[in-house]
Amino acid sequence: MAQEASSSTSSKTISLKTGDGEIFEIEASAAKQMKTVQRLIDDLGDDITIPLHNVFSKELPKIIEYYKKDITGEITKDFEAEFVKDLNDDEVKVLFLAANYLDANKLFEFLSQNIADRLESKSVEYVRKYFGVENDFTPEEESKLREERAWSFRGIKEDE
Amino acid sequence: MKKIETSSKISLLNLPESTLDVILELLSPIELINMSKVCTYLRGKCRSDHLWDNHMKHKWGRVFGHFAFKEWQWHVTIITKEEGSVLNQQINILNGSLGSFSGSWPMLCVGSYLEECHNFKSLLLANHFMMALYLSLESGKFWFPAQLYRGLYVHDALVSYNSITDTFRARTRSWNGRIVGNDIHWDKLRFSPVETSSCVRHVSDCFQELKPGDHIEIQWRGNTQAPYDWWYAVIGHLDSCNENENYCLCQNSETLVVEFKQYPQRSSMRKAKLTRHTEDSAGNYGGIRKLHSQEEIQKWNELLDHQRYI
Repeated sequence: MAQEASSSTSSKTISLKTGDGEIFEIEASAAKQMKTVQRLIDDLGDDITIPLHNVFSKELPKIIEYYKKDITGEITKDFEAEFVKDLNDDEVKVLFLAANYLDANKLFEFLSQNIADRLESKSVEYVRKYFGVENDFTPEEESKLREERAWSFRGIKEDE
Repeated sequence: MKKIETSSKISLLNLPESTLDVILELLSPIELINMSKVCTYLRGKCRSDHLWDNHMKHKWGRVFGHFAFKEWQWHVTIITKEEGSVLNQQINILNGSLGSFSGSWPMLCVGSYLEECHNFKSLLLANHFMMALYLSLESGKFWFPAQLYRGLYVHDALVSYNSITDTFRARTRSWNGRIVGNDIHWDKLRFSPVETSSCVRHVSDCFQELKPGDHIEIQWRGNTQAPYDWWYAVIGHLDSCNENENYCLCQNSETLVVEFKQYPQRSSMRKAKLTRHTEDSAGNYGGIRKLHSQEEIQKWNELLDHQRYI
C-alpha cells in the first residue's frame, strides 16, 4: 500500500517511460489526474519508472504541459485555445487517443470537443480518412442520403 | 524529427463505442447527418434515438410538448402501416397525414398535420423516430400544436418552423386551417400544456380547490362559433368578503370570482362571476386550468406589466 504522506506526495515526481523508450518526469499530483497512471503507481509503487506502452515521446510532453497548468488551476479558455492552435487534425487525434488510454478525463473531454469542432466543416471524404474507414455504401444508398439532407435543412447549401 | 503516427494506422472506430459516443454527442444535427454519409457503421450510430433526443430537448423542448409528441406518434402509426391499409389511404388523398380530430361539426379541430409524410417513411421503418421527428420539425413539414402568446391570452394553433428565418407560421386549429400568424418568434410560443383543443371545452379538475389568490388560465370565446382562447386571471374574492385571509370563506361558495387584472378595479370587465360546478358549454367561458409553475405565472405578470405601460 503506497504511503499517503500528503505534504511529501505533492512535491514528489513520478518517472514515465514512453513506448519509444524516453523518460519524462511529472508531479505526483498531476499523475493523479491520469487514472491509468495512478493505477500503475498503486500497483508498482511510486519509485519505479512507470511504463506507458501506448504513449509516445511526441505527445507525452504536451499532455504533461496540460496537467502542469491544471494542478495550478490555470486552465482557461485562452490557454486551451492556444494549446490546440498549432496542432493539426492528426496531432489532435493522437493526443485524444493518448488521453483516452491514460484515462485523463479533463484533457479527454476538452479534446473531444475540439475534434467535434474540427469535424463540423469537413467533407465526408475527409472524415473517412480521419476515422480510417472505407465507404461501404451502395450508390443507391448514397443518393438516398443526399436527398435526405437536401429537403430536411432548407437554406443550407448542399456540399459536394 | 519524429513523425506522428498517420491517421490510417489508428482507426477511431476501433475505440470502444462509449468513447466514440462522446464525440458524436458533441456534434450538431447537420453534422450528424453529414457523418451518417461516411460509412454504414456511422450511419447507424449517427441516427440513434439517444443522440437526436438530446437535440430535440435542446432546441425544441420549450415549444414541443407531450401532446405534440402524441400527435407525432399518431403519424408514425399511419405512415408505417402497410400499403393499402385503411389508414394509409388517408395519405394518398392528401399527400400528407392528418393528425387527431376533436370537437364536433362545425367546430372541428385538427390536432396536427404532416406534409409530404412519405419522406419520413424509410427513417421510421428503421426505427429512427427521434431523428425523423427532428427533421420533420426543422423542415417545417410538421404542423404541430402549440400556443401563441397574444397580449394577455394564448391562442391554440398549429405551427410550422421556417429554418431560414428561424421563425414560425401559424394556422388556426379549426377545420379551415386559416393562417393566423407569420414570422412568429420563439418567445411568443409555448407548448400546449393540456390536450384539450380550442374547439372543445376543457374539463377542469380543479374547481373544488380554487381559492382567492390562485393563478389560472380560463377558456373564453367571443361566440359559440369561435374557438376558445386561454386567458390569464386570478381567483378573486366575493363582493361580500372583506378579503381578510383568516375569515375568507370564498372557497366554499358555489360562485367563483375570476379576476382579470388588466382592467382597472372599477371596470365591469374586471371580475367575472361563474358557477363553480358547471359544465355549461353554451356560455362564453369554458374550462379552467390552475397554474402551478412559477415560471408560467411570472411570464404572465411580465406581460401584464408590459400591458400597463402602453
